[in-house]
Amino acid sequence: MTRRDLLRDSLDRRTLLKGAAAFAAVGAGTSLLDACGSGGSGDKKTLRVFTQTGPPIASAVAASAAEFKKRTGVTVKLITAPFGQLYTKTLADFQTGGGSYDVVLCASSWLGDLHSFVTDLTDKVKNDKSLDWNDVIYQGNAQWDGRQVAMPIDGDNQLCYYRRDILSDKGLSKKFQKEFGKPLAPPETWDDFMNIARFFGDGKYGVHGVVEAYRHGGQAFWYYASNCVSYCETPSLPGAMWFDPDTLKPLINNPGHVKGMENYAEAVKYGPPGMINFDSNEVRQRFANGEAVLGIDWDDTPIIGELQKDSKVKGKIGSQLLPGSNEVYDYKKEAWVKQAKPNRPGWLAFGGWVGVVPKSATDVDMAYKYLSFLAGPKFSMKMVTRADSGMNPFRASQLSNKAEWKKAGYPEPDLDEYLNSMRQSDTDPGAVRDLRLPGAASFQDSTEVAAQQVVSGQKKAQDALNGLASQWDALNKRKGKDAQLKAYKASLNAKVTSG
Amino acid sequence: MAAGTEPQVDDSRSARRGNGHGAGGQRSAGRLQAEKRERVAGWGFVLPTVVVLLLLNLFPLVYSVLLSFSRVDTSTGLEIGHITLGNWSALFHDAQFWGSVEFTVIFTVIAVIVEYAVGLALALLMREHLAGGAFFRVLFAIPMMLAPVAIGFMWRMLYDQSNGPIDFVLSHLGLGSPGWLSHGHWAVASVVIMDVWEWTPLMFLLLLAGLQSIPDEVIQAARVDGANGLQVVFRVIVPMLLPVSVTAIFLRMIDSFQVFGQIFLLTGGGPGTATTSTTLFGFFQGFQSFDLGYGSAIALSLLVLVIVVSTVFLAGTRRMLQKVE
Repeated sequence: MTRRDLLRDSLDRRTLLKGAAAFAAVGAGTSLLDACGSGGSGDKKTLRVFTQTGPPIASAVAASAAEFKKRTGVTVKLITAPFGQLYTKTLADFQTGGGSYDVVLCASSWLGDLHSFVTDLTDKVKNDKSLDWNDVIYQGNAQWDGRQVAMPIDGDNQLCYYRRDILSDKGLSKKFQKEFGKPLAPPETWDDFMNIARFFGDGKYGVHGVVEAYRHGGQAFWYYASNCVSYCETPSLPGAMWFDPDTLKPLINNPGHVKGMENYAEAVKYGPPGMINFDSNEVRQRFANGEAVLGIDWDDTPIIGELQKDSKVKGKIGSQLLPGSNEVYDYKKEAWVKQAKPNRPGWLAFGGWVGVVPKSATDVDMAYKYLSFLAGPKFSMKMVTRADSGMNPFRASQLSNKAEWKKAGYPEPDLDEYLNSMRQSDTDPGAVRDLRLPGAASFQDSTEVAAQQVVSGQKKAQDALNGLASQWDALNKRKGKDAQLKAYKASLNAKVTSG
Repeated sequence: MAAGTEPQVDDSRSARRGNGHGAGGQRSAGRLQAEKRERVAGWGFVLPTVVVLLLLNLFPLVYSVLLSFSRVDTSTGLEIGHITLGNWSALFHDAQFWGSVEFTVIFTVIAVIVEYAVGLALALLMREHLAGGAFFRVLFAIPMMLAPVAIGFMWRMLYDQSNGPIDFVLSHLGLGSPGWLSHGHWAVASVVIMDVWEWTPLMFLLLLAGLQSIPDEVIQAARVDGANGLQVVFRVIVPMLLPVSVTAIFLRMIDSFQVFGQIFLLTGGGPGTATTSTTLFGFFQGFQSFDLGYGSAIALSLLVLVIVVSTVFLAGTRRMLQKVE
């Protein structure tokens, strides 16, 4: 019997068609099940919450799940992506109408791109008594065009942290004075900061000079900007950090930025080996591991250093505003202007994590209820006093309720300095605002690439920043310059915090 | 049933279809009709596959060509605006794009040459029927069986300046760390090393198969004629391996031009743009900056580049092959 006969005997056309139909049905069914499982539309008993891979923020969501289920019977399903892909995945889902998420926890600076896809929460917030809305100081950062399109769940400043025990060491201070002409002390200016970094840089005293983040996709943009704010912006020059508010000309390549970039690039030599690849999480862990005297970061470094079990720096962390500058570059006069005292503006970097409810959410009311629970005074207080939550104070009560901090184990005198420096930054009327424009993630991403080119020695600071300015200009043109200028002006007029 | 009886079966089926009228003309008309019906049925079976293939292959290509000539607005969804040459004009003036092409070409040339050389050396060794040859063949093949994600992470840990084993060994040998992923040139070297580690096994297996097809008599004859080891390799084995070599190099070359996952995980294209391949650059533009039109233009330019390089490579090697034949 030939193979053909065998086939004919065992598989006539009808059987074949039946088999094919069955196969297609099984395939379609599997695809459907797969679609339901991995995205597609959700059900009312599950809330799909999307945010960055933890621990920061994701661990807060994980911690909220049990209590939220007890209250509502709804299961919180946590979906994560690395920070570098969070914006991409969120926007891709929104644009294609994927409907994969009920709640997205993301950067407030991305609202320029996300606002048209998310639910306006203004009325819900107004009518929500459990929220104690007046206590929230980061209301403005979760708004777009005057509407509350997101729920603030976090407050963000970048500050400067230092090892109190090392900077008060008399022996080291003498050596430092011999080399730099003044005793060791918390850095008041970036010149002081760099001198301390240089002094400890090669690790000869058992600790490196500084730890900052440099990794592309690891939130390096905000660390770079921390190095620049005091050189670029004063209350008399609002918006001077990014663009000329009258013409939208990029100011990213002016001498203030060049100076900041040069410091940032030099500092990489004074940190732990491989610092060029550190992201924000690694900065915190290295500081907690006692590897650096100085650290630049959001409010997470001290709380991890004080409360994490294996930390080597408990009770040794000082906190203060970012170092200042005795000169500020005035882009209008095109000249450096001397300051009577160091210019040390607050820097509301990132502006805090916010929660949005996509218009495509399965149950918008339940999604809002979740955000209200997450941002509510009780649960959020628990989170901001926890080492790994990634949520930092965004309510006035969280900065004043010292008892809760002490209960969590945060020691004095570090606590006082920590809360005071956050308060100072939050309430500074001249605090520098983050870049809030449609396409913000692209501006941030291109800056990280340019910074890495300088840090790795591929380009000089001025050349890299000139290239970056051209890219920013091109990006604004592509997005529509008039609309971008309007959005930029609006971002400067909006009140970010209630300070 | 013998194969020779098949026409009879067909005849009887034709007769049945002819409903017993019996005339030869009617019979052949019936057969024609049956053949036509079979042809239609055949098309019916093939058509879904053709449609699916067209949808999967042709549609994305046409769509990305369209995107590359369009201004894509993503502020309220995916809206394809007016036709423009803007993306292509921007691409030709974009220093970062040309930088990514330069890196991709350098990476491909170095990686493929090293992979070929090491793969050939290993294959020659294995041809000598060493003890434990089967074990080593499996061992050498392991890297290419790993997922790119695992490879990227593994090498990131190996290169780690604080806790990585490579720098640990170097420091014990009294050598400092070069800063594998911190400096541009070293980062390029790191990426090449990782790729060589992953893909040399493919070269090795293909070349070993080629080597095993060379008759021993030919090599023995060369030896009898007085050729030493090197002469045997370069005058006999390498020319006879040319067809396999061309195929292996061609496959690896195309693959290297599209390198993405491992670099994305190992260096993220950095430091700066030192290891940004064209695919990575396209990804950043298309999916990080959401400039889908520009991202499509980058992807298509890579396609053109690969076609040009492949054509030149095949034309060049065809002459060599003809010479060998």
